[in-house]
Amino acid sequence: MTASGQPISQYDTSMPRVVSGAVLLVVALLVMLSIDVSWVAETFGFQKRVDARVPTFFIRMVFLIAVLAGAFISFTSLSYYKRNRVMLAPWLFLSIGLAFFLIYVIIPIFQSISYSFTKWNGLYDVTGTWTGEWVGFYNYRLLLEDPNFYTSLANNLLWLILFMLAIPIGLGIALFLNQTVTGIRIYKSMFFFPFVISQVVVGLIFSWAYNPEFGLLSEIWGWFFCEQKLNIVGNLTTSCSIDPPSILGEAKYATYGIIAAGLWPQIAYCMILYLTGLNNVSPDQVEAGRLDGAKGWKMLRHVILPQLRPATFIAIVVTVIGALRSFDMIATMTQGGPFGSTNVLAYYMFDQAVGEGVGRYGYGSSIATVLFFIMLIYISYFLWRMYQDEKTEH
Amino acid sequence: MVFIDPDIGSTFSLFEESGFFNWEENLMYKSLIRATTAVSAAALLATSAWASDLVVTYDDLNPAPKKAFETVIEAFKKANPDINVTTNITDREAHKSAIRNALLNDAPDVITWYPGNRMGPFVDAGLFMDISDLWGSDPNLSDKFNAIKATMTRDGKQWGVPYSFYQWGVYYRKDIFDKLSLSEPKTWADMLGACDKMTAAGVTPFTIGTKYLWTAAGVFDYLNLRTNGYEVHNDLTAGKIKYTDPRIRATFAKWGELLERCAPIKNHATMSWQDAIAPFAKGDAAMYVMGNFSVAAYKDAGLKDEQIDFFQFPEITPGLARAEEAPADAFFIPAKAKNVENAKKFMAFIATPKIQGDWNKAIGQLPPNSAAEVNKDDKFIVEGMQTLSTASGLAQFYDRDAPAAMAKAGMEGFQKFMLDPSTLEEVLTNLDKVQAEVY
Amino acid sequence: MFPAPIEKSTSSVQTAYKVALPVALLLWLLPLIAIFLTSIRPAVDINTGNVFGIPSEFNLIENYSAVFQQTDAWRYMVNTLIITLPTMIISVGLACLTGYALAIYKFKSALPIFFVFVAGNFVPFQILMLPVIDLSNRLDIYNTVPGLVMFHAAFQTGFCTLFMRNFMKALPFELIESARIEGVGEFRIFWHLVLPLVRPAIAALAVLIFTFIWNDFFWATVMIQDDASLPITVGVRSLNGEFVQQWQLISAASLLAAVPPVIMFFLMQKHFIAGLTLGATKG
Repeated sequence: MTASGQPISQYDTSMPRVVSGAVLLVVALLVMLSIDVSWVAETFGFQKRVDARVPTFFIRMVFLIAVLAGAFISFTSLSYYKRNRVMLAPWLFLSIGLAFFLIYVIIPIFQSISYSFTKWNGLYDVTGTWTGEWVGFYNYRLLLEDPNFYTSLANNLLWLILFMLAIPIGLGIALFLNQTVTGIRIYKSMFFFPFVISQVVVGLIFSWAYNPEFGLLSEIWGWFFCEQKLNIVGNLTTSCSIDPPSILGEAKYATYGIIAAGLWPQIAYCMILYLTGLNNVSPDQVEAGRLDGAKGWKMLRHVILPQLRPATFIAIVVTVIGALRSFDMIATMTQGGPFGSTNVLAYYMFDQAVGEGVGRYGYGSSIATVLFFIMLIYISYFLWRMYQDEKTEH
Repeated sequence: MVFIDPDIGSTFSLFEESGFFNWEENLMYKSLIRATTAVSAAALLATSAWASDLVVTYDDLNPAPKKAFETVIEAFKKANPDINVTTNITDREAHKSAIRNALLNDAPDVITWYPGNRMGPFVDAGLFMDISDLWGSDPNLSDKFNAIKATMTRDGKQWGVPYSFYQWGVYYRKDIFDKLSLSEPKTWADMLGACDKMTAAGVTPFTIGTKYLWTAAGVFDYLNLRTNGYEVHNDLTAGKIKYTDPRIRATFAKWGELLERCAPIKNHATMSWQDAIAPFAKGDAAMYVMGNFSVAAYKDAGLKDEQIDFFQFPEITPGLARAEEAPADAFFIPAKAKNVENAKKFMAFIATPKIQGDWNKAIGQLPPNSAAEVNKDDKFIVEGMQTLSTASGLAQFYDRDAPAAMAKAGMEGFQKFMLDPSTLEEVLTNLDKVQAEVY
Repeated sequence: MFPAPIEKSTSSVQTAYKVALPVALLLWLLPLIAIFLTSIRPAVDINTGNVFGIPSEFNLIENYSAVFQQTDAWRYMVNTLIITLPTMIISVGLACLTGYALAIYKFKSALPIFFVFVAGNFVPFQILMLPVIDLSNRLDIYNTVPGLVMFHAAFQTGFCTLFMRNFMKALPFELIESARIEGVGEFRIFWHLVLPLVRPAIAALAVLIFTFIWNDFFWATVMIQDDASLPITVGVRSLNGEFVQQWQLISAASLLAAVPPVIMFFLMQKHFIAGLTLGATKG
């Protein structure tokens, strides 16, 4: 015991704990590594090896947790840890999440970039050997000559530009709804509604709306230009003086049609950002503005918008990301068609890499890499902004 | 006990009290189980020396094909009581990507896949087993499969056994033809003439849905087979002929004529092949270039047997030997199969005339074994058998004969041409570029 | 307040506003209303093009039960749930730890590590797709629900960390400091002091992740082919091929797929919006 009455062992390494933790770690690790699907299938009597995969995974997970527990016990019992607790504790907190994130997100980025220098169809041969070959910049040279790549790139640009409309429209709706009449909260929720629905469902809704045979649009069109007639075998059929536009079937409209569908939830998102922003606009400044005789457009431009800048920033970020990630809508509505005219990089990559039987892993990866570097511009901008904020805060 | 570090003390004691040291006991227990199971597994193996295994993966969950497959398996079990058969039936679409993994990590003894170029990647990666010996020695395979042997061959070796195929051609509304007093067109001129009559009567000649592209490839294949013949089809899909070749241009010229005078329905680019049945069933359109699997769908859409009929795609270049589209489904033995002898037994079994006949009767398709019996009550099958057995060559299909990347670009080109024939030059030069890169 | 409160306007403007509100809402939700009407129609209305008229029969129950009877919609729903819930728990749980480390401790690499999480959160999915497939294959969990959950949980940890760290940054640091001085251990501070304070953030993240994962389509398509493990988004799209031109059933199935996130949204509206708009008011 020290003079202060603290146990002297406060900063001692507690050997039994370190050792037992280490033993647990090593044993669990060995067991984890030795368990494989075939063994589980045999032991638990699974007829098919496939069915044993999930149980194997769970058994491995249990041992992984034991490994982590062992490591934790061992490490936190070291006197080194105890002496440097404040310095080491954050790494303990970070370890699992960071490792997980690195394995599944950060490392794959570099793997994909390395795939892009290969020609590979995704297969390994019987011995598990990789069947691809290194081809240097070959895939990128192909990209430069691929008209589909340029179509995708142009469409990505179109998405980016037109998606930005979500911001002013969202602001417009937010201004329209920023009142305190009764029931306005319900209106706000209902306007936000499209954002909650999955893009697949939005895509299906709009596919139907655009359908030239019996959709929403053709129905409205039919009021003006079409009539019902009997055909040769006596069934009712529609005949139109001017045919309804086949929005998803014609290359010149299809991308616009999909973007319009994509804008619907995106506008809702921007609207909610601005509604929150408007809530926090300082009433004093608005009053001061009014006293200066500012109103309407002038007020919006000089008093309100500057205060909404954080909302605008977030709106731009999410809209850019949304535009570049556009995949679900295209997959649901056109699969990139007609003849590849609605491809964007995200969909084209998917189609080339794992689309039916195509299996061009290398080429697909080079498309993904291009998309990644485009996105990286925005990511860097976003991080730079964040960095500026962090600096001013401290 | 003494809490050394208050914040983790509780965590630690939790481990100690709940039996941290029991872990090792547990582990010993586990390894004990492991040892015993190993012993019993060995014992099991010893007893099963005479009762061997066979694992078969099949890729159609639709009720009729699934049942037909199960019937075949039952028959096989009866014929080979000493073989313990396990089946694994998966969804067709899922199978297309799952097979990659299955062949590597989880190989069954027999697995379904497609012949032609579709088997190429797996053959080239050494994932399928060469069964040329079986094709040489088996009485059925060596003799009764001549028409289809070429599509099962790669690098001069045979890799699988086909169990079923079906014809393509023109399905038409017989009642509409009768009303317009049209007969089945035999030549290109007949066809164009018939189309003119239909158009005049307000009937759209062809229905088609090109949203998923492959339907357009069927039309292209037929135009090409009729204009240039089987060799040109094979050379084109093998990358030996350019798309800007005069012969292929001639095919597209015919297609241009077809689009002009036998116009397909509008909006075909937004329709699947099933969607395109609606105008056919309604009587708005009268013909459909399709495979025989579509007959069931016409009937589901309310058409009666006497309302629909089939004719072979008409002749274009007079005197040219007639080749047909006849995509086949086949079984393969993965290179990693564990019970190769049994797998070969199974392959020989499904090649017999009896099994081929019964199986295809059940699924409404045609047996590749020329000695097998077909369902005489089904007029489409009878016509199909007649069509295919007299054909000079059988093509798989554009997207099975050409490598996947080429097929994708090619079919997009076909769709583009169909929507706007003036883009022909652009389409052809682009396809040449893709071709140069793919092969 | 901007724009000027409507109560201060003339009564005619007020009436106009009150009329404009429902009209605007109706137009805004027109596609949704039309699809709902479609989902309660009999097949005959679809073929005759009755889109806005009164349904010739009200087939609400028939159509919706047909979806459950003729398809695996129910199983798809259950699958989605067993993908969504574990993802939610793992990613939010891990983010509490990482967020705490990055917000409370002052160490040199805190900001760079934080930026790694933020940047990773924004990368296009396609750059991850092939390596993740390969990794899942090697772990023997490709084409299984746990395989998908592992990826989702890892990826969402990025977003959750961004959120948690910023939320915890705003906590009164003095509180933690004084606890430390009193000798309370780091894990105790986390568990007893910080976690209770970030409960609103946990709730907000939970609803957001629930919605994101429920609505995920891309990863489900890429990682799962087995019909038995498909989630609802992919399921609904494949129904599109199954129900040829039976739009009343496709619409019913689509709307069903949207129900759980919608319920979640209305129940947890405050947290949901707080989560989405984090950063929209400060910075």
